[in-house]
Amino acid sequence: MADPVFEAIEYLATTRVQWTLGPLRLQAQARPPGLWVEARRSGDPFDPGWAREELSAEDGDGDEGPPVIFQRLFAGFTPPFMVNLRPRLADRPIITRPEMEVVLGPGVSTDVYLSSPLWIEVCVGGEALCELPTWRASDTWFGPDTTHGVLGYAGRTSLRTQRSEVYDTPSRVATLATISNRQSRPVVLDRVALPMPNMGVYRDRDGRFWSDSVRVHCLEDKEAEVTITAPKSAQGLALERVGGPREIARSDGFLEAFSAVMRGTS
Amino acid sequence: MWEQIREFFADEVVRERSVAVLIALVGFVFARLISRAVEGLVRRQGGPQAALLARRLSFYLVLGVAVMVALDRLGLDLGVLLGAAGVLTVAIGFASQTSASNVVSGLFLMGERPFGIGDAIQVAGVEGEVLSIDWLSVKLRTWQNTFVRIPNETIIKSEVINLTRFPIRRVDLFLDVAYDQSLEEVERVLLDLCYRLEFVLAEPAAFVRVSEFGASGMRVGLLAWVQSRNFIEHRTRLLTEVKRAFDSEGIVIPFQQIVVHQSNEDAQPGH
Repeated sequence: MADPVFEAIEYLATTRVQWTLGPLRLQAQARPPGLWVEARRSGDPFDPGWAREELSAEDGDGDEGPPVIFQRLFAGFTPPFMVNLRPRLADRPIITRPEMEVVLGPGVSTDVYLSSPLWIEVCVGGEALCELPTWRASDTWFGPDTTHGVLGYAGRTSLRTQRSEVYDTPSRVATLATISNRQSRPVVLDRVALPMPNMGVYRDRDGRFWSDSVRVHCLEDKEAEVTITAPKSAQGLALERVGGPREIARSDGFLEAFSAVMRGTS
Repeated sequence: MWEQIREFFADEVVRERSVAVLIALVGFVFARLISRAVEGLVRRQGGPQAALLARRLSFYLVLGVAVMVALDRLGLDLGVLLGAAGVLTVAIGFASQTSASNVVSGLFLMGERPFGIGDAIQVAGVEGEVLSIDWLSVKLRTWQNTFVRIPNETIIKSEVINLTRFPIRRVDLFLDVAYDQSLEEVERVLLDLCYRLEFVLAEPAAFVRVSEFGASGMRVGLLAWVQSRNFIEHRTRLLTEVKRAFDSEGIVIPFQQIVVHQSNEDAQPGH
C-alpha cells in the first residue's frame, strides 16, 4: 500500500524531514558532510501518531518536546541522495507474559493476538544506516535459570482473541500465536517468547503491520516448541510482505527450546 | 653467470647446505600453513585460547621436524644432539622450576577454562579484560588501561571471579532510609523506578528487602538484574536514578547523627 511514511525522498542541500512513528519522532536533515539523524521518543507506547512532514529551515530545532534518544551524523553523502524508511521487527525475542493467569486444558488449542513495537530502519540509497525501535521495551531474561537463557524485550498481554482487539496503531506489530496444549493435563501459560529476529513483517490494507504467525506446542517431553508460518490466509487479510527476517530459522522450521514456559496447575 | 652458479652448486657441501636451508624454509612455510589450518579447526570447537595454543603447538612441532631433517641433511648426528638436548633439559628443568610450574598451571587453565579471551575477571586483586592465555601467564588489560601479566601458577592458586561468564548480573544497592519513612512507600518508589528503567530486566524481577536497623536509619537493599555487559554503567545509572526518585518523592537518605540527651539534674543551675 502507498504510505508517504515509507516513500523515498530526494534530499537536496536544505531538505529536512520529520516522521512521526507512534511514540518515535524521527528527523533527518541534509547537513555537510552527510545526513544528520535525530530521534525523540514520547512516553506513550500506543501513541497513534503516524505522519511525514517536510520542515523548512525556518522551523525551530524542536528543542522542546520529548527527550532526544539518538543523534548521529552519517558522513559521506552529498546531495542529491535518496532517503527512505523500512519497517523491521525487533532484534531480540519478545517475551510476553499474560496479565492474568491463563490455563490451557489438555488437548486445547487457542489463537491469541500479541503485539510488539515496530522497528524502523533509515536507509540512504537503499542501504541501511541505522535502526530504532518505535518504543523501547524493557530488557528481560527468558530461560530456566539465570545461567541459561536468552535476552529479550519484555511485553505484557491480555491475550486478545479477536483480530479487531489488536492495538490499532501502525507503530505496533500484531502476531497471531496459536497455542496448543498437547499434554494430558492442564497447564498454566506463564510466558511466550516470540522469535522476532526469525520472522518476516507484513502490512495489511488498513496499514497495520503483522509478523509471521507462530504455533506454540506444549509437549509432554519438552517445555514447548514453536513453528513459524506465514500469516494465516484464513484471517481474510490482504497482506503484503514488506520485510524479511533478520536471521533464518533452522531448516526444519522448529526453534530450539525456550519458546514458552508452562507449569502444571495446582 | 649460469656457469658460475652451476660451479657453485657443483660443490657437494654447498649443495647439501643449500638443500638443508631449503628444507628449513619450506618447513617454516608449511608450519605456518598447517598451524593456521589447525587454529581454524580448533576455534570452532574449543574457542580462541585453545585455538591459539593449538596454532603455536602445531607450528613449533612442524618446524621442529623440518629443522631436524635439515640438520640430518647437514650430517649432524641427531642421536648426539638429542642426548645433549636431554642433558640440557634436565639442567634447564632444575633452573626453571617456576616456569615449569607455570606451564603445567597453564595446561590446567586451558583444560578447566574458568575464563576465556575477552572475559572480564577479578584475580589476585586485579580486575580487567583477558587479552591472552599463554604458556606462562595470563595477560590482562585493566579498566585503567594498564597491562598486567599474572603468572598461571598464581591464577591456579587464587580465587578467580569471572564477571562476564553469564549474560546477566544482579546489582545489589544498599541504602539507608530514615526511621520515620514508610517502608511500603520506599519499596513502591524503588520498584516503580526499576519498571521504568529499560536496562533493568523485567525478569528476574527486582525486589526490595530490609537488611538491618542501623544507627541512623533502616538499611534497605534494592536487588535488580541487568546485563553483565556495561555492568558498571548500569549500576551507576541505577544509583543516580534512585537518588533522583528519592529526592522527588521526599524520601530522606539520613546521614550519621548522634542524639545527646542531657539529664535534668545536670541542667539545673547552681550544681
